[in-house]
Amino acid sequence: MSRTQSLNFKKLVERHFASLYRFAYCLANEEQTACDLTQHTFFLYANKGSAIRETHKVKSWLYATLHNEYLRQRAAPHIEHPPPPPPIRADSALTAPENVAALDGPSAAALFAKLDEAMRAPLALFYFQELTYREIAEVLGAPLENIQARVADGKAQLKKILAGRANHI
Amino acid sequence: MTPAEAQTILSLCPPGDETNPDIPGLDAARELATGDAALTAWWEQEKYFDEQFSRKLGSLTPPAELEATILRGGATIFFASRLIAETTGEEPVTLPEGPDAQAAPSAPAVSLSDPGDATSPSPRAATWYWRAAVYSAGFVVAIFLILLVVAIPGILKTKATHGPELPDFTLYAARLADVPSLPPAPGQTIEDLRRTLDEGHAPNPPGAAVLAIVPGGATPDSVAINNWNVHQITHYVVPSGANPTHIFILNRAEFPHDEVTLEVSDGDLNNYHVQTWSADGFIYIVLKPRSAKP
Repeated sequence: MSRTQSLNFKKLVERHFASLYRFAYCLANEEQTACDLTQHTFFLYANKGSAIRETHKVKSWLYATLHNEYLRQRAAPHIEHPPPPPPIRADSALTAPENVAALDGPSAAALFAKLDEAMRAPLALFYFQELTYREIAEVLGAPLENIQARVADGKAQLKKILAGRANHI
Repeated sequence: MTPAEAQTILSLCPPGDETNPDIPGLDAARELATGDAALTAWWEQEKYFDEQFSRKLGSLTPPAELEATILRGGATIFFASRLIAETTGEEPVTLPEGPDAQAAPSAPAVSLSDPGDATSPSPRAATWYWRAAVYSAGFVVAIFLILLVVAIPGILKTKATHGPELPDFTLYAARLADVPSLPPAPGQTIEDLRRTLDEGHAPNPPGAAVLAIVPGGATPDSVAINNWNVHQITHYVVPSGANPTHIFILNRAEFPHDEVTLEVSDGDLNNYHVQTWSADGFIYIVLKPRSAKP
């Protein structure tokens, strides 16, 4: 491996491995699986990265690859893109600040396991702020409006789960 | 636009981004919120929720060794790719040089960059330089290794024997303590290893690990390495025609054996180059198929 190749790969890993790991953790809700997914994503990049001609799409490629690998490992059926949900009337009580403040990183990520499968990836990517809506739509292979509908619906679910969690404490 | 519709639109704003151009109707929703105290209060709470939740997720810390593991895996893959390219003439792995690579030094004259790059030498010239560099480096390392082997007999104490359960299989064992450090010796082949194996006659102790490689490169899930299975060992498969290269990485701190034994289930290790190295507490084992040059 040339020095340039090595530096390219190292910089890419340094820049993205942590956020990819977080994304994987939100999807899988398990540390070892998240590590495996992250590692496998870079393994695939090391083998197939040469096929990416548009260098500005490397980040999207990494997220899309990790997500596809997660779906492949779960042998999940193809996620049908649900129709946009009706407008959400958010309940102020559900967004109580203390509900969020009581969370730590793993417990916040664990909430994703309780979300509908179709909501997890778009909502996680929404909160990571690594990708624009258009990039998220590209990564998940869904129309922009659908992604935004899933984010809105996912947030509503998240708040309900948080409120229910707070009531049990 | 009703306040409920405005809430839906405002809730789509990513944390810290109140002017996202991808959200249709955002300007109108913000304007409505400006004149609606209840909506304004709700949005403030929503923004706080999103920022807090985003921060909590951002505090998820990857395991300390993850980055190093990925980098080691990448280095090994690229190295194997280079070996394959040297042997078969296939193109080595070439990564795109995007914004992430801007701080990197420019590619050397012998480059793995895109052959279509007008600033690079022609592919044929690059291949010629590359091979010349590899052979020169290989010659120097080979001299060094010969001196090392002469000076320290038994540097690779290994044994060739037949597996008791699968008599047609060929087993090789290498004492991990004697595995040479990276960089490996270019040109080292199974014949070299066989010679040292035959000379060493090191015993194959009970509990030696066994890695099984089946023809065609697939590694069955059921293969056991004592109490380990293949999934407990970092295992990479680098595509290379019909017989991919296998790379196993053992964490020396976790691998409870003094020897590692390689088993090739097609019965002929001569079909592979086997190279074993150590670095940073990890043992690297690479099985590279001997491919006929085109």
